[in-house]
Amino acid sequence: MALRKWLVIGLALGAVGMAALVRANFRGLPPCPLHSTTGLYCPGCGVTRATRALLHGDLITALQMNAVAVILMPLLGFVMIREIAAWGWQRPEWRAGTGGRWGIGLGFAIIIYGILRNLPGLDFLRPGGA
Amino acid sequence: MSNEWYYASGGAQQGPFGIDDLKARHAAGQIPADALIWREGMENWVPWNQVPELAAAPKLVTGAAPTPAANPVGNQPYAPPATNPYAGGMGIGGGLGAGGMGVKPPTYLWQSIACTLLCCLPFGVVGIVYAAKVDGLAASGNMVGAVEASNKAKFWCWMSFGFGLIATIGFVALGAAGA
Repeated sequence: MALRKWLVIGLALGAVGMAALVRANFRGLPPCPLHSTTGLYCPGCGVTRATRALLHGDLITALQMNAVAVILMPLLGFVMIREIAAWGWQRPEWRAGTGGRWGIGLGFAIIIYGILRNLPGLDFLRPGGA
Repeated sequence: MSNEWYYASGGAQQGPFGIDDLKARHAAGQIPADALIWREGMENWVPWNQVPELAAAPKLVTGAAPTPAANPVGNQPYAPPATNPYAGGMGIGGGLGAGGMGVKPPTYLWQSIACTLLCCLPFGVVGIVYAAKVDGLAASGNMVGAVEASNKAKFWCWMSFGFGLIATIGFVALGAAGA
């Protein structure tokens, strides 16, 4: 049981290290396998670039890279931290809850966002708005 | 929280023990497999593998919360409403208690959304679709269906995570080879 806590703590330290690499624009970051192989823009396309922009305090660029993810970051960060802490410390009362219909609606909205980004004429939804 | 643990088997109650003592006795095989565990503050006597502090990986219990045959000792102050937050049992725990009709399984909705956004499109989307079904099925009383949908959402989350990880490592390896 103590093992889980250390896994979570290791994960958190790894996330801080990863954020440092992203902020430094580390060249070893892998390209997205999905976009490289298929050319598709998934709903998460641009999240790394948006995160890098946020780490440099550039909200405008972050929104251009993936506006939906940037807007949802506080919410998703909050619920995922709760879920991971509940798992690590085995405290089900810390879990984030289901979000009910709003949560389900959000899930499907993200899927639809992923579809729209790939349609012609909706290029502004893609990273960089190109 | 109280650290005075009891176990009961065959109508006889043993204890109190500290949690480490209890685990040591369990490891030594002194606690029968059918023994039920109780500590002050718990709603009911439950099997070993449903005590969060004791069981590392609770087993899946489909559907309704288990009902221990009877209160094995009979003199404990808590009537058994028999909703254990871990009765759903999958990894993190059973999610939100839904009193009276078993325990709702976790939806994995947040995990599915995170997997989808962190780039492994097809599997994360399947996870969201199954996650969306869980609460509806649970609300309509179809606990078996809800647990199935929950397990499928969990499965596709892990598929998404696993394939994303493998693909990323593969691309790093390819990039390193090409550089």
